Amino acid sequence: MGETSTSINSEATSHSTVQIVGQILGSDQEIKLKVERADTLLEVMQKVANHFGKELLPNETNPLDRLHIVNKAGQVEPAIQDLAQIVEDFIHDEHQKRFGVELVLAFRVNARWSVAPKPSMSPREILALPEINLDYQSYTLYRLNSAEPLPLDIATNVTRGSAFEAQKDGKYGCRSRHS
Amino acid sequence: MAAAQDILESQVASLTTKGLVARRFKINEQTYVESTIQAPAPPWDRSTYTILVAVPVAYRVGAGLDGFYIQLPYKFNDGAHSKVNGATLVADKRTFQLVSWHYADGKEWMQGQDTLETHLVHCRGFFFHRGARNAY
Repeated sequence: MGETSTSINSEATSHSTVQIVGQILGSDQEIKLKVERADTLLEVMQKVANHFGKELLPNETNPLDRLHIVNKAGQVEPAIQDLAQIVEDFIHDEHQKRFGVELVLAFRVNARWSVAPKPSMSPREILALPEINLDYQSYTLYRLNSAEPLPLDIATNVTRGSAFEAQKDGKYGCRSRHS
Repeated sequence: MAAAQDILESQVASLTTKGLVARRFKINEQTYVESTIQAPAPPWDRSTYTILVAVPVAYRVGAGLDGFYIQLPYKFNDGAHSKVNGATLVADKRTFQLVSWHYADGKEWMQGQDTLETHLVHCRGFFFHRGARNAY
């Protein structure tokens, strides 16, 4: 595994900082990084991602991306649930100093973000995701800035950060008879 | 009335954090939500438009949103769009005109499912000519 050398990868740490190792899961690079003991794990996650030029989605403060511990056997442990914990409280031994950021397949429909369980999904499947939760009989799915409706049962690629719009069809003229 | 404001306020706040809604305000007791919509240019003469959505008093009890106002001036195919033909209103020295754009039959506003968020996407569909059959 390659290692990125930076000016902050000294083994020495002050009382207020601790050295961790961070990586983006799936990549072959890692970074030694000093973080503040008072940093939250969210801040650790942000620092690791930012170091590698990655943007957390949908935003830095409430990401769908996940932070894991990579144990000494190199196995990725379950995602840490409480990112508000501070480093000092979380790290109890050396093995908890190796963090892996999992960049998930986050995408959005309108203003609703979700994580795609697979990279190719039909509009019917996308609309049915719990975080999207829009009725396929009422809404038509489009790619952002496209006027071409996506066929309901034909799979389309969902990439990290991709954006769709689910729209109820419109008509010109009179208001709906049922309104 | 407070509940109505709470629902709208909550939705506006939620969307504003995502950059979708600019603000809400009242003119003569009528509440409007102002938003910026991206549009394809051409045929439109700019890539973003400011729109207003009128919010009925009974929004909290299921009254739906319908249509929107577009800020003037605009150009569509270097002229006027035949469906921008409704009443005009002035807000903060800006003039807006009502657009004849509604929910299609069979896809009416549904309480509990449709929200300000979905309505703004519905409005955006006008600029893309999405789903409309009685076209210009």
